[in-house]
Amino acid sequence: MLAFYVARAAYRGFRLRSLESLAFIAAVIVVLLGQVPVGSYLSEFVPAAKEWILDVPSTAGVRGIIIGVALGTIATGVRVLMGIDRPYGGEGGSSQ
Amino acid sequence: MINCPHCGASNKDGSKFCGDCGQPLITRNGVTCPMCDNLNPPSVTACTNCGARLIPVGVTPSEEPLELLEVEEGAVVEGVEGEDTVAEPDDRGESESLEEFADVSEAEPEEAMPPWLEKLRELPSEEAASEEEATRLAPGELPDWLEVPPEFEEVLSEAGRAVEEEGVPRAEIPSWLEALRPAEEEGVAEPGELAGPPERTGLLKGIRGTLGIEPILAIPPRAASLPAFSAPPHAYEHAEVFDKVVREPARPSAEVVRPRSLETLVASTMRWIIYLIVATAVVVPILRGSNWAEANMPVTASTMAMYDAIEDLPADSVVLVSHDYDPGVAGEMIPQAKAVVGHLMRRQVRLINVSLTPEGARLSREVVDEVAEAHGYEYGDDYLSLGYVVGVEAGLRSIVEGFGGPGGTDFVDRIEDVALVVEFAGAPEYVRLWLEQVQAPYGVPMVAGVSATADPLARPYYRNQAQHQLLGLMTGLVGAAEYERRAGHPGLALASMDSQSMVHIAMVLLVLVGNLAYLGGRLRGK
Repeated sequence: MLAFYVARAAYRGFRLRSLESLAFIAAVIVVLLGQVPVGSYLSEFVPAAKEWILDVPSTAGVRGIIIGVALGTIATGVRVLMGIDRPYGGEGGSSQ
Repeated sequence: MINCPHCGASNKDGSKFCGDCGQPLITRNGVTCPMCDNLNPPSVTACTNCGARLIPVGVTPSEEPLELLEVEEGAVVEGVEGEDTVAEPDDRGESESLEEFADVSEAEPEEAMPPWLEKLRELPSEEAASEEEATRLAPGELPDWLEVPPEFEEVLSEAGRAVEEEGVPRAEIPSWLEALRPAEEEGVAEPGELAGPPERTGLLKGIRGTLGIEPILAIPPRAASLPAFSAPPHAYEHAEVFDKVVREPARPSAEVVRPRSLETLVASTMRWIIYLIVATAVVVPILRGSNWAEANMPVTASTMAMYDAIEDLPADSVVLVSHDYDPGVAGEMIPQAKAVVGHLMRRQVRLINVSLTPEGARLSREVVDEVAEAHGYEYGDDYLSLGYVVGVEAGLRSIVEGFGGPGGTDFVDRIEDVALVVEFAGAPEYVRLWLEQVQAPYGVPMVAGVSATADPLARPYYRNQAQHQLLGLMTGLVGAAEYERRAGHPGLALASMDSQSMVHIAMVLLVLVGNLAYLGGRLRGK
């Protein structure tokens, strides 16, 4: 069922409107073909490109998200410890 | 009933004053004092008890005295002008009233006289009457103090002529003030004109010259003058068009029949065309029994690393396997679990199975029992299932710290004795949870098989080779197929790779076709 909806979304959503969308569509095609055996059948470049996309740009973005969440958590904890911020719970809640 | 001698209005018995005109009522017995309720003879003008005046000051005395002692209730006398007039107690004149008042006052004891009456008593009544008679003015006559002195008459007349000669304009009245001027209609009496019959009823009874209510209501209100308005010519044209459109009767809308072109037909049915393409890509390889992927399935480095980590386990070592997934991702997680658990059992290691989700405990039990039966594993001796672990972080920590203790398992004495942690995570937070609570604190080696959606968030832990957080990573159904291919035991995952390959090709073609149609539409639009 998921494959049906993803296929329809791919037809309707992946439109070449700008250079960014061109890069996005190229990455989608490479990963779609590199994930399955037919990618290596077409070219040895396709699985290697897929691995590079998953390991470098995708992982870099996820690491940025994880580092941002960690820094935000630390900053919020310091604010609570210094009394600048108040954790959720209101008057007489967990902050008491 | 008592009829008022002044206005003729009827008043109930016992009334002292007329309800219409306010004059004291005279009964057969006399006039009742409003101050002390003393009954006085009808002829007196002041109360014989307290001295209060019984006749209003403003009443004009008549020349002829009336014999009121003989007047009964409702009796009328013939007036001077032939009209019916009501006998009044004060018609005898002011001078006579004062004389009688003085006589009545003399009859009173000296102690009862108030000071102000003492002053009236000293005033000679005849002189006062003559003086008042002398100062009485004829209608239209001005008193002496209002007369223009002779020396100013000439000056004023010259000033008036000068103003007329110089032509001084009259003061201009603004338009808004003119708009407030009442409209002059015929039949409406002027305010100062006392014409028409007297009122017969109501509070205005007996008064002439009152304004009738009907003519006032009949006066049409005069609308205030509006400023001049000028509109550009096109505004009038637009107004005419609008008026024409509004006045036109509504016509039944004709049904627009457009030719149904091939492009429109394809656009309206594209959804079902896409579904048909995907269904064909899935079904055809299955029906044909294709196994092309078994020989051509590449194995990625992350899956190879996971395989190598398990392959390097010594025999009789203990492996902790966690099944943290739910039915939503069971389609790709169960093939992973079957491939890896089968490999572990072929390596003849003992397994401790847990689950951090209630659904995962049930699903994993079926998988592990099926694979254990195929490999001759005995529950309790070769593998265990601890079931669902509640408490998330705290529950997981208590489980791993309870190994070897009361109620624990005898497979291991402590968590450090576990050779490897194999995590099957349907969501990335379970990978992080095991890394934080088990791998990092106790240094236990760990590999993970994750769903395709969890791969991006789990991959950084695999690529962090400096910390050795994840020794291997397997992703989705493709990862399970790779593992089966590497292990040399084809299963459900590898068998479905032909269909998955066809679906991926179909998606790529749909993306290309969709963009071609999009670019073609843009070119036609230009």
